[in-house]
Amino acid sequence: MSKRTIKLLPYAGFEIDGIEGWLDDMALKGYFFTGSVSSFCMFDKETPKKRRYRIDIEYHDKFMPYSAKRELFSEMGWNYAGNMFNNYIVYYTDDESVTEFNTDEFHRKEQIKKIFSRKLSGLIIILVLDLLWIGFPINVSSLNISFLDTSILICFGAVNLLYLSYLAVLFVRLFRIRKRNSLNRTYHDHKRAKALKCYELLSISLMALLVAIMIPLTLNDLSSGDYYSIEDFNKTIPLPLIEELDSNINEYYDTLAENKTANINTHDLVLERDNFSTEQITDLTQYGTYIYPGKPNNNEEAYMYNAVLYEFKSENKAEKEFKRSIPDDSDASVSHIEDTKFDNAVYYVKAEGEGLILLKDNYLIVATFTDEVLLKDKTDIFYEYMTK
Amino acid sequence: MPKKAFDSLSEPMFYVLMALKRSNMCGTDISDWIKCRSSSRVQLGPGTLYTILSHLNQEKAIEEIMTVGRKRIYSITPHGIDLFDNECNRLRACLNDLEEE
Repeated sequence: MSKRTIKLLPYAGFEIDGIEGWLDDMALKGYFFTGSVSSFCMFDKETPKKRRYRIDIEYHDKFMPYSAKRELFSEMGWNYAGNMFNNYIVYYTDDESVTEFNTDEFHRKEQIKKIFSRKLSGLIIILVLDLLWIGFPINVSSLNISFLDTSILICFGAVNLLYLSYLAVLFVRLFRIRKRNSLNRTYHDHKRAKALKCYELLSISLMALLVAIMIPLTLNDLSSGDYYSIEDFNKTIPLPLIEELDSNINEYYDTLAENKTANINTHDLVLERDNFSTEQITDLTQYGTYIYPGKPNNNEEAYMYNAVLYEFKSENKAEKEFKRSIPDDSDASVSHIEDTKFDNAVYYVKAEGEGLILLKDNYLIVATFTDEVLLKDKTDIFYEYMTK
Repeated sequence: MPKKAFDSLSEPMFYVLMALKRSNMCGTDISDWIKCRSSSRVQLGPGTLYTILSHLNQEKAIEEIMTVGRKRIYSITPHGIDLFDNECNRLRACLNDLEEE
């Protein structure tokens, strides 16, 4: 019984004559092709012998059914060996007197041209994507993302350079196949092809690793800024007493009422709602900030949360501003916010803490005042907690 | 400027049309006849034969007329005969030019 072995195809898919030559040489070593999955070829190990392998590229030309085509080839001495990639059909013959599979350079070139066009467009797309990817840290840096320290940038540059050089080699190899005689299988050096394959695998693996590292880092940074991570919640931090905050909060509101506006950083803390459990909400309330995820049913309920409405104004993304709006008859109110930037209605409640919480879509945004004078101690405590 | 496939026939195409002009044949018979007729100078491998038959069929120069067992029999069409005759004339003109030289 023959032993099955898997070997990595050292050639790129468009180097058909190289693949054919490699399969011929494998047969001389006793490895006989039976099929492949992507670039991994399966072989049966048997007694070495001379066998010719040739690849037919099947297109959906509807001229002849695949079965009839294989029948014709078989009658002419070429037997089906297996498939490679999607449309490469490998045929073989052990009979040296059988006419070569492709005997006309002109017609073979027509097939090669089709492959060339496909691969060239594929390579250009990959190149464009890679260039966009290279531009990625530049764009992210403009957002003042902090994670891109020097070492990551160096790694990023090195891996992309490696990958670009690999793409350049592929381009050169692709253009070479157009020039040379495609019926000649003597151009190829399998060892060199193997080295290039290792080079390809290394650059692709490193690029995949880089993507796997950078994307989560970026998403994490974009969503939470510099200040926050779930792990930052530390229940052992001494808490300001709610009563103390209550005694000072009115004074604080009065000051705001005079100034009418207060600057707020809205991205000090952003949590994804899915990651925000009830337990964590409780944690926040311990710091004097209550979350009310909807419109209170009545003023009493709103008052219970000591609610104050802020109208969100988002004309200027860099300086988000909250304008305080307190109805004349009560300092406890909740209103419905309608803003073009916020398609979904957002209700929020500001309670004792020096922050403000928005529930919007999948995000819970906690904003903090940064320029408060009154309640400075409490503000600092809260801010310290937020920026920990 | 790239060469169009049917500006002039390639040698294997010419022989395929020649074979089918003689009689209706299946792929294997065409290949064997050409090899015999050209004293093995022109040989068609299955890859090349299939590509040529497909091209000629697409160009409506040949057509499949019947299937006998597993063999598909092809015949030349009037358009195929025109192509073949044009190629013959072209080749004759070439030879005349050579003889006059």
